[in-house]
Amino acid sequence: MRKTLFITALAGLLWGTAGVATAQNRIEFKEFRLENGLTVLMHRDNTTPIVAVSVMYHVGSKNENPARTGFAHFFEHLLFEGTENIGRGEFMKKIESIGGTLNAYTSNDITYYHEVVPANYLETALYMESERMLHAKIDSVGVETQRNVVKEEMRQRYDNQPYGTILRETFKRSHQVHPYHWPVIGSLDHLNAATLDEFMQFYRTYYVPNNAVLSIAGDIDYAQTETWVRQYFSEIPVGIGTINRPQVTEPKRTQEIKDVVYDNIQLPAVVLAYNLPPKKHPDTYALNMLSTFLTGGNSSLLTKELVDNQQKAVGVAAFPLDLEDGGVFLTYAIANMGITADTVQRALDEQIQKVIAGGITEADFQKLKAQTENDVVSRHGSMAGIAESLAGAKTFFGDADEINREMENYNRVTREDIQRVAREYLAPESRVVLHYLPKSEEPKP
Amino acid sequence: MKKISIYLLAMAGTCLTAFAQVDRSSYPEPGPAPRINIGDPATFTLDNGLKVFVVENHKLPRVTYSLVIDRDPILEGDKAGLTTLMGDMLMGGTTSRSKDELDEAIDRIGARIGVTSTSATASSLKKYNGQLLDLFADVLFHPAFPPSELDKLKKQLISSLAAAKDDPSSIIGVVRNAAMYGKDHPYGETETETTVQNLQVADFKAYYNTYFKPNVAYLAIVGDITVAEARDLVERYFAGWQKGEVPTHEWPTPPSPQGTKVVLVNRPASAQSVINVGYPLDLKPNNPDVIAVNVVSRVLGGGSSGRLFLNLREDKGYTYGAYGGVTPDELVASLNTSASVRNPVTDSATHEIIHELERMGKKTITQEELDLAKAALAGSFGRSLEQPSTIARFAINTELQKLPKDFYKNYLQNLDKLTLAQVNDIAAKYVHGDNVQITIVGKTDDFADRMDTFGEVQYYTPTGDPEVKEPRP
Repeated sequence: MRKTLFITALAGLLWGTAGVATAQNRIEFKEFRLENGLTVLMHRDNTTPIVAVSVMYHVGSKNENPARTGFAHFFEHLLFEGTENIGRGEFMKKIESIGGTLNAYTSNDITYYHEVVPANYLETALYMESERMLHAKIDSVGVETQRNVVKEEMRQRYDNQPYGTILRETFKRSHQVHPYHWPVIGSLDHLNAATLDEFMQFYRTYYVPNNAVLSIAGDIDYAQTETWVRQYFSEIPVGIGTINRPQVTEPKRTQEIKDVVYDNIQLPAVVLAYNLPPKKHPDTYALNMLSTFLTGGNSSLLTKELVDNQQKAVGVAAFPLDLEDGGVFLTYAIANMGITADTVQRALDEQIQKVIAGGITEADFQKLKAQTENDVVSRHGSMAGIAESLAGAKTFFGDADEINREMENYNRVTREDIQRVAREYLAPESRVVLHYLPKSEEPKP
Repeated sequence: MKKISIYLLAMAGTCLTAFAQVDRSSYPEPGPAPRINIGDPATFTLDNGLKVFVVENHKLPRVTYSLVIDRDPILEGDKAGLTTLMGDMLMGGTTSRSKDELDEAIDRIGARIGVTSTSATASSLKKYNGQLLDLFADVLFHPAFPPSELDKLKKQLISSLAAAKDDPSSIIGVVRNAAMYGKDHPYGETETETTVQNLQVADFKAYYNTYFKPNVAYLAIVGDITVAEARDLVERYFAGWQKGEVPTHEWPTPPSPQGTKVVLVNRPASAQSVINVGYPLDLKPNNPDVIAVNVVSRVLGGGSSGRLFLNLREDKGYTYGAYGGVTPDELVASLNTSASVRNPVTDSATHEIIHELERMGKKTITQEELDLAKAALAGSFGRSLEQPSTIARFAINTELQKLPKDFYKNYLQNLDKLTLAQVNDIAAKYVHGDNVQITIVGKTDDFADRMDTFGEVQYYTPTGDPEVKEPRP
């Protein structure tokens, strides 16, 4: 199986390179690994005296116990509380007081902590990240406060935001057996029920060097950086718990799931969600290009048809949420006033069917290549972005150099591939369809 | 078996601790502070008055053109929506290209072109530079303003206005501005279905012929291009742009609220109250107080170390985030603070915001807070220089906001010089907790009865009009 793919891919390469002249700017980097399993990536660029320091932990909502959802995201909050040596609330303050900035996010697959600091504070940032990994301090005061904060985050992002529940409602249906089923933010009941011990156990299992990538990009000296990294991170013990990596595969569905969600909205919306292959699958590149063909740029198929020509939608978007174990290809459109969800769906279906049945023209394919080239070449404009791309490639592909092969991978995609992936993945019988309708239309019981 | 080896490794890790020479009890000493260099963009002016700034940066093979039009704020009145749609109308087709042809031509080279009523941006890979400029110049100088495009855009905008009536963050902006500035002020007026329906093609042509003039415009060119190349291209594509007289407009400064007023919008479906507390004030961007005001804003509500964040989120757990500060403005500056909080704590959260404003006005900034704010501002200034477009932005801001010529060059030095007494004086001068406007969008049944302790309560509609009916008892 793997062999066939490889051969197809090679053929694509020969075909593809002819058309593209601009090469992707190569991102040079150095990599080493500590005995405790921590992978370290470094990229040097002395243009601006700043440095991005980040840690990507390979833990997201999919690693959680189904009875304790929301832990990974909760840790995103908890790990700013402080450590044995850094007092409560001091973490954020310290970074700001040295002229840096910091943040973090959690996805279904990873949790990413990152800061950008003036280059002369690299050692400080490394020290702080090592503290966070070695002995974060998690106490009941912090847990209590962050529980409240997360409740408000949940209300702000989902409940008080028109269409805010689209992802939650989609994944609930698109992933029935895989842990992508539950939202990253998790369940309040689970967080309320969790004990301090459970939090500590999760910390010692997942926020450990053998489950992390430390990525550094900016105005650095490679040797000095490596010395500091060894100094601060070597003593951190490997994890003690068993890392849970879900092995289940979401079975291909043979019947469309269709539901209505009533929301505080005025304009109906239609969501079409198609299950994707795992992120590492070679079709990921063709699927990305397909999404550009559908809604990337004003001349893209769905934008042109639904928004400009038929004027059935005020906006339409299609993008692959390509998760490690296979996310969804999400397409959604918000109806123009007076247009029903059914009308919008018919229009979407008609266009998608056209691609499945007839593929795309050579002219459109060349356009797609130019758009893709522009996107790939324009990436990596900031140190923070480079640190994140390197860490992501290492975590998901096992090789940070994957970021330098992106253009190559896109060049392998053929015009026929676009039609093939449309046919293979955008089949109506295996999708989830949601109609978001105004609450005023909800039938009264 | 596996477990054992992990255990051993863990032991090895622990052993290492004993030998490591690293002191974890305090922060490492930083290295010597790096020099922050602020380059100058190359600058030249065309005969028609267009000022051009060029920043060479060859890291990525791409070029970005950004055009800014400097005009006074205008009142759109019964044509409100004109400036909102102006950019889309310019992108709606040219005298030689239909909208479809234009969209197709832009995507064909993977380029991006975006236009608003006071700005335009175009970017692409270097190898498409010539085609990009052909298209950009066509959009800017040969617009067709097709009526069919206007019909479509009006319909879309009216749909969006309907959608916005259910979006708390849109509502709060509309209502806050309408109540603070009045609907007959450029900052307070709102678009409605009626004003959008009033728009005619002639209105767009008139706006274009009045304001799209090179003598009030600035063009920044950033990226993989030399100054000589840029100069040639600008001569070729922009020298034919005809200059003209551009009218100026003056507007009264809205009065500060006398006594605190409470503006409530009832949104029964709300799971949170969106709170804004603020007031208008006079602070032009070139006022010498501005850097100190930035420091005060930072202490009050900047980032995760601001007093609002620390109090409302980290201490009380009322909200996911609370921020605020003063925004200088040529016409009318304002102080704004905001947070989304759960319904039952709406009054307590409002109280805490006002408490922080009052405290700030009482010269309470500590040396530690000052140092932190200075460092944060200096750091953010330094980081911004990573993007080559920043120094072009600095140059354009210096012109637009009539800043001292060396404002950005001296920024770090002037920031550093500020004393505790100075910033506390500035805090007292600009920040106060009385005579403010409190605007809240939420489920008013849950908290309205506790809001009159702050001041007179007035209900507004989501579109920014006072409700005629009396507040419920």
